[in-house]
Amino acid sequence: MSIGSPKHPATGSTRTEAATGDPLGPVVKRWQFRFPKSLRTPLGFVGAAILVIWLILAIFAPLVAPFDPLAQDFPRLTGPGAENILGTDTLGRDVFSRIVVAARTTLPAAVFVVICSALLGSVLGAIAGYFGRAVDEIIMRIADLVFAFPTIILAMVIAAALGPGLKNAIIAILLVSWPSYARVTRSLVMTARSSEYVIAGRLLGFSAGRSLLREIAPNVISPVIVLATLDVGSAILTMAGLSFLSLGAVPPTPDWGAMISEGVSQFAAWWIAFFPGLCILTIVMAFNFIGDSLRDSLDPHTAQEVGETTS
Amino acid sequence: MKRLTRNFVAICSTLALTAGLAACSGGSDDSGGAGDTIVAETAFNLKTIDPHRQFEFTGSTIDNAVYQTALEFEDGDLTKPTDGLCSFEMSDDDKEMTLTLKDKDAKFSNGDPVTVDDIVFSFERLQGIKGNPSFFLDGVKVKKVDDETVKLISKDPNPALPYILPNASIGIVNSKVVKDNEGTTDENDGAEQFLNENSQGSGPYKVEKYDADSQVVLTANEHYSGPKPKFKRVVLRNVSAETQLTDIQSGQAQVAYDLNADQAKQIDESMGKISSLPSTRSLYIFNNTDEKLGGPAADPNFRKAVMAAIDYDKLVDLAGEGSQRMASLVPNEFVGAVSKDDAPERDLAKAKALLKKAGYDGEKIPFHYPSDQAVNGVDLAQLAETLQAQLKEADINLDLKPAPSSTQLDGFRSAKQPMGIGTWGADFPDPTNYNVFIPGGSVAERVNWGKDADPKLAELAAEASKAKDSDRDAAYKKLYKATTDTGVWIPLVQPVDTVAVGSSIQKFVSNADTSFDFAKAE
Repeated sequence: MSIGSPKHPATGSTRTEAATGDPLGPVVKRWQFRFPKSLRTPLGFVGAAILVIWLILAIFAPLVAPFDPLAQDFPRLTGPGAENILGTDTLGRDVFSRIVVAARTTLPAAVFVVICSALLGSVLGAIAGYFGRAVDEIIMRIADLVFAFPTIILAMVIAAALGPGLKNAIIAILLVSWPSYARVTRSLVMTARSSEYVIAGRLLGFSAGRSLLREIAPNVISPVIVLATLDVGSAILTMAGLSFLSLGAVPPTPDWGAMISEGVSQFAAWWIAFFPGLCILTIVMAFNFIGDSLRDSLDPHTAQEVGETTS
Repeated sequence: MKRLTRNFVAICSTLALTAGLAACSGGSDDSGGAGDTIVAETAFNLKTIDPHRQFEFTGSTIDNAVYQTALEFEDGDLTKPTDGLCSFEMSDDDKEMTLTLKDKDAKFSNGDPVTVDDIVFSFERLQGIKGNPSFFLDGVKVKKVDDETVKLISKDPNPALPYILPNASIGIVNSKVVKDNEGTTDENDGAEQFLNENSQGSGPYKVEKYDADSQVVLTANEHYSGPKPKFKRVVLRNVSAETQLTDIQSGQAQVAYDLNADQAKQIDESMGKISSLPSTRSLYIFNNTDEKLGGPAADPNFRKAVMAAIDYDKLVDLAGEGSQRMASLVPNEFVGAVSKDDAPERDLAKAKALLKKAGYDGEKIPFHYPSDQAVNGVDLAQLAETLQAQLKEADINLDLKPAPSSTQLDGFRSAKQPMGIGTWGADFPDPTNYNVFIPGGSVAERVNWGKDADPKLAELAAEASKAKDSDRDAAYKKLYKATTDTGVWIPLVQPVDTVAVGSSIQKFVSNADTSFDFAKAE
């Protein structure tokens, strides 16, 4: 993969571009993500549009939700209709209100967990890749240990040990998801470490921190961002999985996974599980679309193709 | 043309493959329950079918069909123990029970007659192997008097014994064969595996195939002395409740044990019938009486406020048609049950006044419950959420603490949980089975309710234990009414035991003792 083709820290351009472009032309810009361009792809548009809708729904949930999501005021197991547009659940609560309010916990929690695991994984991966030897061995073997278990099983074990609750579910997902970032960052840092500009910096007496932050980081951050965007979807899925198993948000907090779990024993009341399932589907798809578009945009090879097709 | 031929061949192959697969899947003679086979479905809770070791629902269901017991319940009425293989007589002091072999034609599935020796061996094996149901005959000495009589001698008065003996765990086995297969009356017994695969009972059926994970097949015992069952074969399959519903609807199964009230509603008359039986299980709230551990729950006024804040009718609605209010933890059909007319009622004003008296100012109280457990279709997680919403209306704030059932039970046993949902399934239908809830009892210890905590209850308990025959009912009613009044246990609802029976079965017997009697189905 050429996602991680190094950019010159000063120019932000890739090596290939640097070789073919003006070698003397000083480009000051360091952080060049071309994010807006990525949205010009059809999938990027769709993903961004879905995400924006969900963000609006989540932010304005108290205004959008027609009823109190906890109030057991309606007849139980009523199908979608005029009053309860998405029906009611086994306790007589409005499914639509619960779905909308659930977005307020799921979305921030998923984004938060991904940011944390990306930070943790990248820092550890960068340390492993830059310093090598024993540090590398220790960090990467721990990562291998985590990789050895299926993600959801390990998350289940951790969440079960810590006890149910959103906080513990976040910790569990964080603990199982950092190694992928560590692995990606490590390999990128290892490549960048031997680049001439990094060696030059080292000869000039730059500290390891400065070298990592100012010279290597700009070249490795793009793939990490792509990975993180794609990971939000899986974080939402894992969180829903934990809630499905009663290891996520504690009732009565509305949660998509828990709602699906409730619907499993009520096949005839299909709306209880169907709509939360649809929510998970749309939001995960949106993040995947955006992630794909970002990857296309940030990967110099595909970026060229995308650029050709969209321009 | 070539392409057409190729497509034709592809279509034909696909059809042939589909037909082949369909033929394979239809090849099982167990599906559908055609002819003389009943297919019954339940989500297995099965560890063994050795009668003296089993203590689970599925094991009891099977052993009820395979083993006869010394006593039975008259037409499933749990207040009326009656003759089974034996007739019985209790001594005046309730310490000695005399059993006389009555059914002399009874034969085991290999044709051996049932003798007093088999009865003595079965009782002694139950006691000696120290299995889960061994406590049934704790403190009871088994003594063979002659070839027709056996005496059960208890150290203390044991008026519950006639209610204990009909339990499927006290099934009578063929002692000679069991002994030949490593069966003993002590902990060295090694006959469990043998009994799982080769049942040794005198009931209407015997075990043909045993697989604790998937299915158990029973066939008629040709030596059974009672009326020959119409259905010669019973296939009990391990199937989840959702699948049971579709299987009953499609006619693939004739009996489904685990449908909840909402699922049962989906079966109309053309598909089958629903037999709703009062469950022998009780759902309740426990309150820790220790001030440090229980917090507000240790205050009687607070407990009474909780009792007055619950909307019991809604709980009955949640538990489904046929479920009942409870005025004590003793199920309504048992001797000693407090009439459900005396059950607590909702009164929010009273609750708020009591809360004021208790000095409760809205602090959160941890409320523990098993999040993965349903009792007769009542999901305890949903029950907890309902209670939280109802108590909130009286300004009582519960902080829900769900946990897997084993974790929750450990916490409850350690007596550290301030409040939560508890369940109790009757081991035998007698009020003495509920003595564990009075101060000093094993369950009462879990809420730190010690022996000397309530002298009045201790006095009532002593009176009840001395009461005889018809006086027992009144004495235990008084005891359990007073227990409920303390608010330490708040009875919530007695759920309903639902058995769905497919339309291909015209006549069947279903009662509180035997949810579905395979031998009497027609």
